[in-house]
Amino acid sequence: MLRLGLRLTLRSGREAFVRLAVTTAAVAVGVALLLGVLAEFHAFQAQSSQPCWACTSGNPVPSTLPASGELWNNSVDFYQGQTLTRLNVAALGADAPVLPGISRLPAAGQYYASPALAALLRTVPADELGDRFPGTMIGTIGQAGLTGPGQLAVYIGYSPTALNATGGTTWVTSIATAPAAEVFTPFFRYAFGIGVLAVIFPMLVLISTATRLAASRREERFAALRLVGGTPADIRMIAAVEAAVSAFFGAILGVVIWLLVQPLVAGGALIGTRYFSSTVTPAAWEYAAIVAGVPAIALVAALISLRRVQISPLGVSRRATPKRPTLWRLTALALGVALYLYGLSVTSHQSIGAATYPGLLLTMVGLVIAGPWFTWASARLFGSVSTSDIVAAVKAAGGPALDKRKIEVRNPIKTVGAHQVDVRLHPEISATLSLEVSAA
Amino acid sequence: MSTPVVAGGILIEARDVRKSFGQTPALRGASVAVGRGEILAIMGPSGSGKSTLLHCLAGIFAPDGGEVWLDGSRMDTLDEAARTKLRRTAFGFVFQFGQLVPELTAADNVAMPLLLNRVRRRAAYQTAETWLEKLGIGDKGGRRTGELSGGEAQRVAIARALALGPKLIFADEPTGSLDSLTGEKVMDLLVGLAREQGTTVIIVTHDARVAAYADRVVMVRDGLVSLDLGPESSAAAKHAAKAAN
Repeated sequence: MLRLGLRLTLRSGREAFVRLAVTTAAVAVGVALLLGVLAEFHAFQAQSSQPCWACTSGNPVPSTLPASGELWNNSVDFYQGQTLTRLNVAALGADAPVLPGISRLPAAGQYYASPALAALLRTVPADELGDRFPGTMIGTIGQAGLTGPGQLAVYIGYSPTALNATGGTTWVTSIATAPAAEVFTPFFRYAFGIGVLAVIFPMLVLISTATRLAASRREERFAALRLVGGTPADIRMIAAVEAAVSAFFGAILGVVIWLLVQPLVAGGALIGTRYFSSTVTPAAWEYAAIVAGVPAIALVAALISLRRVQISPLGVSRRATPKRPTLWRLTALALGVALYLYGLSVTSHQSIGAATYPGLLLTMVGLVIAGPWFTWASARLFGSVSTSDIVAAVKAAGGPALDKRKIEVRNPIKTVGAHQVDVRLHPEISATLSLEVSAA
Repeated sequence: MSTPVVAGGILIEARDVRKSFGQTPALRGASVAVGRGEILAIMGPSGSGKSTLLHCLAGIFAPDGGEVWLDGSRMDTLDEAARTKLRRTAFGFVFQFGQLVPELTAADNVAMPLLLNRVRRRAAYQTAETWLEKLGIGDKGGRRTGELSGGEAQRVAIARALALGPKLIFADEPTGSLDSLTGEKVMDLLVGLAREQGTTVIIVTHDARVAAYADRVVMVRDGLVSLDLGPESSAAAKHAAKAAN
């Protein structure tokens, strides 16, 4: 069945090819966005777990300078609105702890600058920036010492005596390695989770719709298979293969698109320069999970969406349940919204209410379940009898086949009861047709 | 009407079968019995219910009332899955427009029922090639059926119907979309091969020339089998043609 599904998917002419291409492209965009969200999440995680050397708490400098550790004078400076982290440091002994991102502490008259600051120093006149830092730049600070590629930071070496004479100097014996306490970290994590859901759900809805459309377009083909003994399950599997194939191609294409735009994203062209480019990437297992998982989820979504499409051996395809959608369809949505609102009500500055996340998930699922009810309700509100309906009704009543373009409906028919329409039989001859619209 | 005695025993039988579509009755108590190896033509005017009778016999429709017996077992009470299995294992179909999958090749279409029956791929395609050869279109196996002529497509449908070695072939207007010469060739092949295999064939047709191939002709009128003409095929067809007009 899989092989047959594949052949029907790949060889069914222009229309099927266009449908395949459009679905593939849509899935590709979705997958690229998904990878982007995951990459951002990784970069965010990497930044959040970066050791915070600036969080080191020093001790008051003893009256006699100790022979171990180092002196720190940490300050914040500004250049054209950008914050510049400045650490004046003086080693007190050979075992003085080395700051992250450099291999040895700067001696008096030397300094290390972050790459972004080093670039500025090369271009900005010395009297505007360079003169603030005494001595010679002997290197740049590596990634380990910075929160992002755009950070302006400088480690300046002093002699212990000179630095001790400056107010606010502290004695440091060990440098903090714990990440900075981020108040908003859990909020960002939730935001990323929401981002992933917001990409996946529309993708699944699109795949389900395209599969149903493809199944109805292939009605005759599937009827032929039903005639020679193909079971509804066989047909569903064949029809669902198209969804899986387009999802697979879409996933691969999505990965390619992502790999093409990744340098731009990582380079800051799209999102600013908050993260190191090497961290703006999904994990290898996430790539694998997406390439395998998106087609698998598409296959399941297609099988579910085809559950109610019946194809008889004579080619009559119909939705098996034309029943009016009941209000029960709104249950999951209502529960989801209630859960989400409850979660919000217990959300504090410290943490997000535990109910928020499942509430959001249930709301998304609920929207999919409630879809048919909303469609039915809006059709009832805004729908009207079309000229095609009139042509079909006349034919069903044993009347002649009319051209729907010749029928003139004076006002859109939106209510049950008696209505009249004109049928233009000839430029100069028209007949009036009386209709009785009844509720189905 | 009474069920005629059929030589060789009855293979399939409809007893007082009723079927309506909405408010419109299509069959009002049709009865017919078909013997093993027999070739039966069902004739009747448009809208008489002849195709509906065929579809009820083939398990495509479940009748609203009455009984359908196949090989001594009730068939009308079977569920959709069991009827699907019967279509897959015991029946072959040749319909007016072939009911082939146009994107697939002739060989694919013929192999289809075998593949659905989990016959191994290679064996299925070998059987398909053999049957295409027998039908004189061995060179068309690799062509998509959408690219074949009407006569060639019907031959593919006949090959598909016979490939599985079915008990029974249902043919609904098998020559309806063909010119008379091609139609004659198709009927020669269908009936010739069915007789060779000892396969029972039920043909729905409004064409007396097609009915002339049958051993027996029944007439359907207003949802009832109104006339059952004996085994003198040509005479039967002639009468049927007259009755149809």
